[in-house]
Amino acid sequence: MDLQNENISSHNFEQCLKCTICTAYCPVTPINPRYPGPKQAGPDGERYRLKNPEFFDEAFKYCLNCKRCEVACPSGVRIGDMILSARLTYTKSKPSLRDTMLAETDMMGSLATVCAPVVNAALAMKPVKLVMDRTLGIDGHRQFPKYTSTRFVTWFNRSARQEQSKFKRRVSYFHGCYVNYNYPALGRAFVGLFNAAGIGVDLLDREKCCGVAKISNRLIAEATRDAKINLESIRKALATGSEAVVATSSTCCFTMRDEYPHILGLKNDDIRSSVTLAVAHLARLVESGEVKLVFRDDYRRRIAYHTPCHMERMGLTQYSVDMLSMIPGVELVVLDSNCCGIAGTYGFKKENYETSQAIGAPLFNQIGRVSPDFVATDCETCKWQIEMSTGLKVKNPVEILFEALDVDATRRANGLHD
Amino acid sequence: MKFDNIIIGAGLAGLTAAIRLAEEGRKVGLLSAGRSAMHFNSGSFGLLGYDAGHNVIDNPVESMASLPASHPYSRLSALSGIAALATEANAVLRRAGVKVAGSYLKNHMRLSPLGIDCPAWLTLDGLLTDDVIASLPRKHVAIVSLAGFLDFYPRFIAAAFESRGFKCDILTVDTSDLRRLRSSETEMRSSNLSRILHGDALDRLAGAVNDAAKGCDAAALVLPAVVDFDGDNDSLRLRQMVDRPLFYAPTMGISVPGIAIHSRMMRHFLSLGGRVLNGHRVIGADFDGNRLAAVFTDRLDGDRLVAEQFVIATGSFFSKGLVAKPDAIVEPALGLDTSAPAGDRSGWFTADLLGDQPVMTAGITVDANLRAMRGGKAVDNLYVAGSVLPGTASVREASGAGVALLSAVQVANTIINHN
Repeated sequence: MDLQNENISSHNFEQCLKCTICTAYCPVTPINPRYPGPKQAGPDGERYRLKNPEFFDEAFKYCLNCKRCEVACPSGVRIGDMILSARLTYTKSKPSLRDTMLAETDMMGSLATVCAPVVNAALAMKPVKLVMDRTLGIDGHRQFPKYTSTRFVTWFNRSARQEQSKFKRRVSYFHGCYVNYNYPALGRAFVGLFNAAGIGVDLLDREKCCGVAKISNRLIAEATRDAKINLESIRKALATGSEAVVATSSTCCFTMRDEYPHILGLKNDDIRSSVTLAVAHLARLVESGEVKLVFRDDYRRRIAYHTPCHMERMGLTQYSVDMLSMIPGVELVVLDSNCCGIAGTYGFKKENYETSQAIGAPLFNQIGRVSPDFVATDCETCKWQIEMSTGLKVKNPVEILFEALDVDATRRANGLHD
Repeated sequence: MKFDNIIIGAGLAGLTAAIRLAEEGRKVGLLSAGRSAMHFNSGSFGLLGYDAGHNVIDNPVESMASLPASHPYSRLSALSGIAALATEANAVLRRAGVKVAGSYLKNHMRLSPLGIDCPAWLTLDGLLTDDVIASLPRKHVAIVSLAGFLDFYPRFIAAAFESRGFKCDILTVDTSDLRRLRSSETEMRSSNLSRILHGDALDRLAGAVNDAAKGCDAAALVLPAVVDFDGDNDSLRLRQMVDRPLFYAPTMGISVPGIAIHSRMMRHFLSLGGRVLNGHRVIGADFDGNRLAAVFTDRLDGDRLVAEQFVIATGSFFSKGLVAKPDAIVEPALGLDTSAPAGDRSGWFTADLLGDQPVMTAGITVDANLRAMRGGKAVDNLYVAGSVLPGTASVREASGAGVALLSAVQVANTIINHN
């Protein structure tokens, strides 16, 4: 009689009770009426699409893939997966040049970092922005994150790799495109924090982009190719002494844990629980007493924490909140969990700019009222959006933990001696 | 992760228990596996509305005397007394900023979305009740509907007034915000309306209502309850901007007054330092003899969620607090003992679809202190609250909210007094 359980489609639309709670928590529905909402686009439409693909609606492209519908659903229906899969299966047009450029974070990063100062200057110039806006449809309000001249991996190989052999405990770091090409300071903070805690850092044999931008821009063959390389590298790292593969980006982490099996159909059961966020791994070690952190007593900050959508879906928010709360001089305000509106490359597209800012407005207003010294969040695209929209600096919890850390005292507390 | 107390389930019972414990300064973790049935609540709480013969009850506390010993109210009555628990539950709601009126000694009548009188204990300020209707100076109201809104039927509400000898006008208002939302006609639902009708859009709605009501001499206006998703007082603000008395009638489907109550209680819990783990379903537990040591969720890779005491308030079948298998009714999260109606599956149901279905009285078996039973023994530190308690026919009795609130206060107090 497990017929019921054995006859459930891949995204379990049969378990939908039609309660509409998903739509009540969709960030897009009230802002953009062209989007039919998660219930209609997901389980309601799926029944029809299975009979006739003509029921697919191009307006599904307005879905942010934030998965807040899935967090709200009392029946565990994978609504967001269903909508994204429908877009991948039924969209007839090819991805545009712009979408391909936005999605190819690895390739664009590799090219741009070779002559970073020139690219950064060009991307900030008004005429260039105007051309990108008019010809490509990349919204002119957007500030591209600056490219670095020295990639994280280059720094790591030159200045950090050698000393990692001193540590018995090791994790592998999935740095992601942003840390490598744009913001190596976060990677350096991660290495500093984990090393001070007595944990060595390895890089994966081969790391490709997690694939989130390729998946949302429908470059599925490319995303699958990269995902397979990442999975192979992760398996190898775990088999050769890494206790976990950790990321500092919530979206990279989420993509490898959940989008690989649910969207790309790549099995990852064997490694999924060992791929996590750096703060989550650290929080578990602190709680079990295996690691001790000592913080500076002169660090005083008022910080507002923003929960990225994929952090909410992974259910790991509590670890970031707990770790930041550990710092004695930090006054932490946890903001209401609302989408910031950027959703990766979505907000860069000219046609989505207004929707993107309207979705984020309640969050920006709340940040204004809270008036923190800066904002903390685990996602880089949330960072760009909040920095652009509020003028406040946004930092990753790992960066904050490291800047508040008494490195020498922490090293001693974890039995490290020079 | 370590907490003083973990509450499994974030519906009315779970939130109430969580708030009580957080108010005592405890570190409380609230696990929520999807949004709760409060999203369908019409803004009223029933304590005990109907007796076994489906007659309306006037004094709920008096009528509880004739309930069977297995009913949660009989257990609560023996533990703390209904009056004390009801008073305290009301106080919790007030501290959370949920403004309700009513008495546990006398039911009032609220108006349902279909215009039917239903007995209730507490009703949110601004919603239609028989007291509100009786207080109107003239027997003339205007029902104001919103153009294109799918889940409100003015004729039903008008019929309720007409049966009381009222004259009823039906007006329709439209604003630029409604027109914009209407371009997706399937999405004209109350929750979507409530999310656009605030700020300037609320001002525009008030203007449109005032214009529509000009030249009509109704003593009061009745609007569908479609404002205040965040519990931010939009409902009060609209009443202040409309230039004659305004009351709300609940809508079909997902229900904004219930969401507003949920939002306020959740915000109160967070302001007390409470921690909410959204989208976490409990999938296993670690028992140490008769103690629950830790629970596991589907999101945390086997990380142990540890607490001194736990409350399980996972709701009934709708929210999967209970699951009916072919031959048994099971509690899926922790594998606790459940009560099922006697006999095989055929005894779970009666032929009368709308009659009392015995299966609905199933729940987690508890001892006299509302501790959950597992393998025939009470778990020392695990308490049960809300509609996953056995022995109620909550829909037929109109008792679901009352059982949730009172049992939550009871188990929270047991935990507080334990230390």
